[in-house]
Amino acid sequence: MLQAAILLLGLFIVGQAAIAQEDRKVELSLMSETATVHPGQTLRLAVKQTIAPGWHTYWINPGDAGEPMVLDWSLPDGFRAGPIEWPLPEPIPVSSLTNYGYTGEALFLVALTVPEALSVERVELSVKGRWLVCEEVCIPEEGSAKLTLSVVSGPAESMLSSRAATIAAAQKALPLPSPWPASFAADERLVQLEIKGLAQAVTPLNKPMLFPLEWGIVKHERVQKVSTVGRDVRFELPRGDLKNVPPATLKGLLVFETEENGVPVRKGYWLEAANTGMAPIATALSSPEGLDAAQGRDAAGLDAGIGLPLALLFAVLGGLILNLMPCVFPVLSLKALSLAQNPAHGRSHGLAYFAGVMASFAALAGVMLALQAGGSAIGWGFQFQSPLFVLLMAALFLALALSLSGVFTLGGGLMGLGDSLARRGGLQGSLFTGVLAAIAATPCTAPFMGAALGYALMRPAGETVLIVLALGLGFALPMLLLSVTPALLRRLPRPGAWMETLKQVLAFPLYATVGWLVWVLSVQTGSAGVLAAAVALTGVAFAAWLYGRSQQGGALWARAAAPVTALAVLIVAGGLVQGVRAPSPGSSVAAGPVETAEPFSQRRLAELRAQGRAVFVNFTAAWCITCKVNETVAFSAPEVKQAFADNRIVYMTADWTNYDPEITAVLRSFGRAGVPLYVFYPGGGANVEPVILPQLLTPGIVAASLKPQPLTQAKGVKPQ
Amino acid sequence: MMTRVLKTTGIAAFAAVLAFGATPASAKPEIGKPAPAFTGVDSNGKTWTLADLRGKTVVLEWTNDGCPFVKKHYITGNMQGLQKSATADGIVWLSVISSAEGTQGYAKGPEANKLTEERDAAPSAVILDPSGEIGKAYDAQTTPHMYIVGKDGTLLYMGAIDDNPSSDPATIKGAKNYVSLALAEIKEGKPVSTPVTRPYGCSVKYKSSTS
Repeated sequence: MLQAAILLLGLFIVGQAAIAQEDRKVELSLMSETATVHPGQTLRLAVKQTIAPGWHTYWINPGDAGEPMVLDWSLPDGFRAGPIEWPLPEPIPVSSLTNYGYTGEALFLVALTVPEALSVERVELSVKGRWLVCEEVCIPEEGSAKLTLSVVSGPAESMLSSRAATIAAAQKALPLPSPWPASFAADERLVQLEIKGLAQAVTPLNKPMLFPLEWGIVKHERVQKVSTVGRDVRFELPRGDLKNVPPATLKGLLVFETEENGVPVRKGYWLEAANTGMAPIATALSSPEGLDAAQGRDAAGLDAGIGLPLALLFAVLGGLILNLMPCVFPVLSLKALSLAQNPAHGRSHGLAYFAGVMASFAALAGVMLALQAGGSAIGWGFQFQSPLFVLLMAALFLALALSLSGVFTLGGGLMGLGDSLARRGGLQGSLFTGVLAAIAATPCTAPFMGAALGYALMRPAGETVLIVLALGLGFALPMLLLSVTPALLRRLPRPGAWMETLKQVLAFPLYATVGWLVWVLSVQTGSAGVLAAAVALTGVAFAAWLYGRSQQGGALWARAAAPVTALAVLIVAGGLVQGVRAPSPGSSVAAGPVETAEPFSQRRLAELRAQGRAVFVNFTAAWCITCKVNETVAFSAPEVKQAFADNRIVYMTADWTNYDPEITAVLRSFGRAGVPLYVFYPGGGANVEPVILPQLLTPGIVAASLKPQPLTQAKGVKPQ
Repeated sequence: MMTRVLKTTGIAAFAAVLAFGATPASAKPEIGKPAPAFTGVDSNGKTWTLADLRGKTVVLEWTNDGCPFVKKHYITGNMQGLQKSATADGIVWLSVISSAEGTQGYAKGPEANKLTEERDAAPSAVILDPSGEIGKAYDAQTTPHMYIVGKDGTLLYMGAIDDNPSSDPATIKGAKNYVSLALAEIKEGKPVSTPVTRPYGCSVKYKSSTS
C-alpha cells in the first residue's frame, strides 16, 4: 500500500515535470567551440538560452526587478569552469520600470580549464541553470544541459566543432575594457559621468547607454540624458537610492551602436569611473581639448574662436570704445583740453601719451603671460581681484580728484594741465596720462573686447601680445589723432577761465569712482576693507592738504612730509586690507530680475538643466562698470522681470569680484577672458545650446532673448 | 542678430525635445525625510491615510500573490510570521497591491480577503492600489518591496525583505531579514543600521501607458 502510494507520488512528480517541460519559456543548451578536448587546454563553452517570444531573462544587474541566471556545473575531476561572461544586455521596459536583460537568444560564454592529466576517453560536461524568466509575470525556471567531448592527446588533434563560428562571434561581441578615461561627480539628485575622447573616437555614435553594474548609485532609467561635449560624451543620470555613502567608483557597461566597415555593430565597454568630486565640466576645461568644446555662440554670430585678423579688429574697436567709459572719460577730456591750450606742442604730447598707453598695455600683456605661465587662470580685469590694487586705485583717484578740486597742484602735472604743458615735465605728464588712462580703463570691458581678449588668452604668447597691443592702439587712437591734427585741435574751444570750473566739475566723476572702488573693496573684504579704505583715503586727503599748503608758501617740511605721510598711511592701510576676504562674496549684484539670485555653480546649473529648467547666468564682478550698468538698466526693467517670471527662469549670478577658478574656467569655455558675460540656457535639457547675449544690454535685448521657444514649451512629449 | 540667436535656440530646443522629451521631476522617497503621504482604500472598503497613523510605526509591503518571490515568503510562512510579530507589537502592517486590473496579482476586496485567509496572513489591512498611485509615490519597483515609516512619519527603511535575492524558497533559511532587523532597532530606539537596500523580486505590475 505504502509502496503504491510512493509509486503514485512518483508518477505525479514525473507528470508535473513533464508538464513544466512543455510549458517552459527558456530552453537551455550547451555547446563547445571544440569537438574534442586535450589535457591542459582552456576552451570556450557556451550556455545558450532560447527564450520564448515576448519573454526575457536577466543581465548580471537585472535592473529594477528580476534575477540573473545562476549556473551549477557538474564536471569530471580536475575540470574547472570560469564565471559567466555576460553578453551585451538590452534595456527592457516593464511599464514604468526598466530591466536589463535578454530576449530571443542569448549566449553565455564560460571558459573551461581542462586538467593536465587526463586518463579517460570521453568527458561528460553537465550544467544546471536556474533563472527567472518574465513577460508581464515571472517564472523561476531550472534546466540542465549536457555535452560529451572525446579526449585527444594534444592540440594538433583538436577539432573545431560546428559551433565554433557561433561561439567566436559571441566572443567577439563581448564587452572590452574601455580605453576612454571616465570620471563622475555626484550630488543628491544627479550623477554626471564624463567619458573622455569617446565622441572623437567613435563615429557614428548611436544610442549610447550606460548599464550600471551595481545597484544604488544611478537609477536604471532606459532614457538617459547623453550629450556630446567636444570630444567627450557626458551622461546625466538620476542618482540612485543609496545616498548615505558617496560612491567612490561608478562601474558600468557602456553600450552603443556604430559602424565597422559600413556594417552596423553594437559595442560594449566596461567602464570604471572615479568620483572626482568636482563638476566634470570644469575638469574638461582644464585640458586644452576642453577649450574646443565651447558650444556657445556669440550673439554677434562669432564662434568662440574668431581668428587672428578679426580678433585684432575687435581689439582696436574695443579700445576705441573704452575711451567713452566713465572712469576714463574725465581723464581724457582734460587731456584733450590741455592739448588744445598749446596746439604747437600737440604732436609731441600726443606721441608721449601714445607711448604711455602702449607701454602700459605691453606691461599688462607681460603680466598676464607671466601669470598664465605660472599656471594661474586669469582674465581681463584680474588686477581688480586684488583688494590691495583696488585700495591703491582709490587712493590714486582721490589724489587726482583733490588736485582737480584745487587742494593742491600736481608738480609737472600728472594730468599735464595748464602751463605745465610748456615745461619739460609736460611730456612726462602726457606719458603718465596714458598710463593712468590705461589703468583706469581695465575695469571696463567694452563691447567687442570680450571676444578679442578671450581669443588672445588662449593663443600662443606672440598673438596674445599682438592683440593686447591692438587694444592699446585703439584706446590711444582718438587722442593721438587729435594731437597730430592741428585742424582738429583748433576746433576745440578756446582755453579760458571756464576751464578752471570744468576742471573742478570733472573732479566729481573721480570722487564717484573713489566711492565705487570703496564699495568694490567692501564686497571683496567686508567691513575690514572699508576701514582700511577710510584710513588710507583720510591719509591721502591729509597729505594732499599738507602738500597744497606748502605750495602756497607754507613750511618746507610740510612739502617733504606730505608724500611721506601718504606713503606711510597707504602702507598701513595696505597691511590692513591684505589677507582680508569677505566671508561670503557674491553680494555684488546691483539689481536682478528676480527676488533671489542663486549663486552660480556648475553642479547646480547641470542639475537645473537636467530638470529642464531655463537658466540665465550673469557673470559679473563688483569692479566691472559695464556689468553694473547692464544690471541697473536692463535687469530691473519690468518687461525683463516679467519675462523671467513668465518662463520660470532661474537667475544665477557668477560673481568674479574675487578670484574664482570655477568661474574663470566657465568664462574660458565661452571663449571669454572677463566679465560681463550673459548666458541663457533655454529649458529642455542639458543638450540645448546656450545663447550668449551681447555685452551691452537693453531691456529689449534681454526680453527678446528670453522669449519662450514654442518647442521647449511642448509638454508631455514621450521619450522615444 | 537676435533673429539668428532665436533661430539657433529654436532648433536646439526642438532637437532636445525630440531627444528627451519633458521629464517631470517628482519627489522620491528618501530616508530621514517625511514618507510620501497617501490615502488608500483597503479590501474591506476602509480608508487609510498615512497622516492618521502618526504615533505608530507603519510597515508597507508591496505584494503580488502570483510572483514567485512573494510566494517564496508566503509558502515558507516567513512573511506571515513577520506580520504577526509586528502587529503584536502595535505596528501597523499594510500590504499594498499595485497590480493594475488584468495583471498578475490584481485583486478586488473579497479576493484579497480570501487570499489573506488562505495564506493565514496577518496584515493590519490590504490596500488596493490598482491605479498605482501609492506605488509610484513610493517608487515601489518589486514585489516584495518593503518600507518602514517611523512614528513621526519619516521614512526609516526602504528596500528588500532580506539579503537573498532569489525566488528559491530554500534560500530563506540563513538569509538576513532586513525588515525584522530594522523593526528591532526601531523598537530599541536605535537608528536603522541598514536603511536602504536593493529591492528584489518581480516588477510591480503597474498600469502601463502612463509614465
